[in-house]
Amino acid sequence: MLEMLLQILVSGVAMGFIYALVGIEYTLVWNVTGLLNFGHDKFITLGAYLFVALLVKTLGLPLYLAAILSVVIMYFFGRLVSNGLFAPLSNLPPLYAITGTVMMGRIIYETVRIIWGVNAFTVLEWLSGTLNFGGIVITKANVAIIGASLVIVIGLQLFLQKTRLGTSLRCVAENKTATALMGIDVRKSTALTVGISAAICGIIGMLITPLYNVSGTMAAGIVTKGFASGVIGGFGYLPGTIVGGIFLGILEAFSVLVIPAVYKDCVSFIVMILFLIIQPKGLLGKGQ
Amino acid sequence: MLNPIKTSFFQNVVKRIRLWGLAGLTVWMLAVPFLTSSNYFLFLMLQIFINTIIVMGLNIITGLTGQMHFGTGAIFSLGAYTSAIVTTRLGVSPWVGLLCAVLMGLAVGIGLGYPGLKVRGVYLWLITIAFNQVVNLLERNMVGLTGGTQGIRGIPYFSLFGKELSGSREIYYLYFALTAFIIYLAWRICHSRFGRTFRAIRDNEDSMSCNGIDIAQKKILAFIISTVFACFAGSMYAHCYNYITPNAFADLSTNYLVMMMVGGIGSIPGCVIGAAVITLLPEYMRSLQQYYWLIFSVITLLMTIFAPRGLISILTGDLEDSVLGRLQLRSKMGGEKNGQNNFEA
Repeated sequence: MLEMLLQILVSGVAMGFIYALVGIEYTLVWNVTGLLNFGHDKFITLGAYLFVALLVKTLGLPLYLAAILSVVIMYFFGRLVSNGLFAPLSNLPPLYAITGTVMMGRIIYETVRIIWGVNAFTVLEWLSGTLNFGGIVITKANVAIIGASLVIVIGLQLFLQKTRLGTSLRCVAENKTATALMGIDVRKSTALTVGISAAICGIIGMLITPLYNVSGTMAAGIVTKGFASGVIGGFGYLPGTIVGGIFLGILEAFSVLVIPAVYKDCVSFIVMILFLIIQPKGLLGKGQ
Repeated sequence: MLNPIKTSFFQNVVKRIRLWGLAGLTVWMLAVPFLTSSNYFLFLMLQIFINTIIVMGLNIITGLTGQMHFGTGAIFSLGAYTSAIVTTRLGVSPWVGLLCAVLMGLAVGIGLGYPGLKVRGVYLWLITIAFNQVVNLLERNMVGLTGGTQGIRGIPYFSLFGKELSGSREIYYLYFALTAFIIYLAWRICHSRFGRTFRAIRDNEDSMSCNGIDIAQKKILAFIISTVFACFAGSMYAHCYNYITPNAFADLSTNYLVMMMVGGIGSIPGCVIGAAVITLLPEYMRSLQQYYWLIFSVITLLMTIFAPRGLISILTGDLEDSVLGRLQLRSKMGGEKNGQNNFEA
């Protein structure tokens, strides 16, 4: 019984970290550009496709080289989107901005569909198998998710808090006019942030490849829960988003014990609605 | 901003052309079931009617009142399911089903309106997305009530004066009348005190509440009108196709939003044009095959940026709020800014 609970806990935490990563990825963009990137599920899909379809299946690169390369490509893709699309969109009223990002997502989805077809595929040898920690069996995928997420979360916090570049990014998020007056190139910083966000999307895409098959709609479910994790932890506040994501992952994993598994996805949405109505500042009370 | 070159004579001509155009369109709409032999085309027209009604509702909540709303697809499906379940399980007339769907719309509107009071902007968008997902999940999984992914079959047609309207021609005329009624209603709402209040809430909520307008009541009213329209359309959908599945409603919310924005947000003729264009376009662009959605998305994205007021703004030359219009204006006014875009949604 205890082992089962522990296994549920670990898989919940792993999913929670995925939600937290999604949360981080869109919160970065939200803080800097004021845009909610509703195309980010397609960013994640694109990352997974780049990794699996292009680099591994077509070019036959070794897995780890392909992983690094796809993250780099995603970073530059993010910069491109930032300069080409987010810059004009962030001047428009929110409704147009949101529709713009939704349409961008659709464009990515259609491009992916035309290039690689509608059939889902997967890489069998990527993060498959299990590890045994003294009787508790944990899949390698979950270990990789937790490990990689921890590295990203800690690395990002160190980068944002300790380096000059990271500080300038936080300044842009705080006050664009003042930042520009201090001689920081707002456009460049924005491009850097969106690039980092897209790179994180690429990593998420790779991490969830063992969980879902690679297909056009693979990320549709997790991104809405990513939004939920942001709302629960405190919207626009990075540590809050991480806490919210892990909270949501664990809650969802344990909800299976109480309600039928098919309604598992409802839990996060209902919790999000409740938080928005009752506690809009989030768990840590620092949301916007 | 009126162009000073437009004389009253010119305006009269425009008005007359518009009237004749509308009359011609009505005659064509009335005659079309006899002009075409294709049932498929009539069904497309029915689809346009249904979409028009939904977009009318969405226009009132998003276009006029400026509240984000992404749950249209879910509300539409709730209307369809309510009507379908009531008529197939209880065996009542489809008109009772329609009434039940409208009551459902009322309930959902009140239910969604209250969170709409507490949260604004993107948060409302998130709530409605979550609502969309929850409704779709429930419809998929409550097999006992909704038939799960199999959906509901054998939904009866509307009947009028004891005669079942099963031919596509009869349904066409009934739906044409219903749609005309709804468009008239939406037009009246738009140009009444309510419509002006809604617009004022969109433009400046605080100043409105200072002027003694009950914002909460008006916002909920706008929500209710939009959800009732969507549920009404849902019932029409169920009784025209006789068969509904959750898959038909899965990804509709974006579509309705696109219809409204491509046609012209906030404008009733614009919304009708949008609904018609977006419904017909895939049928007449078959030659583009798999590239259709890609090209369509790119065009929509470009329109969002360069002509946010939609097709209607291009047709009437009323481009002030668009980027193109702003550029023109800026060059006219010697680089001065047009000022705040008052279209904060």
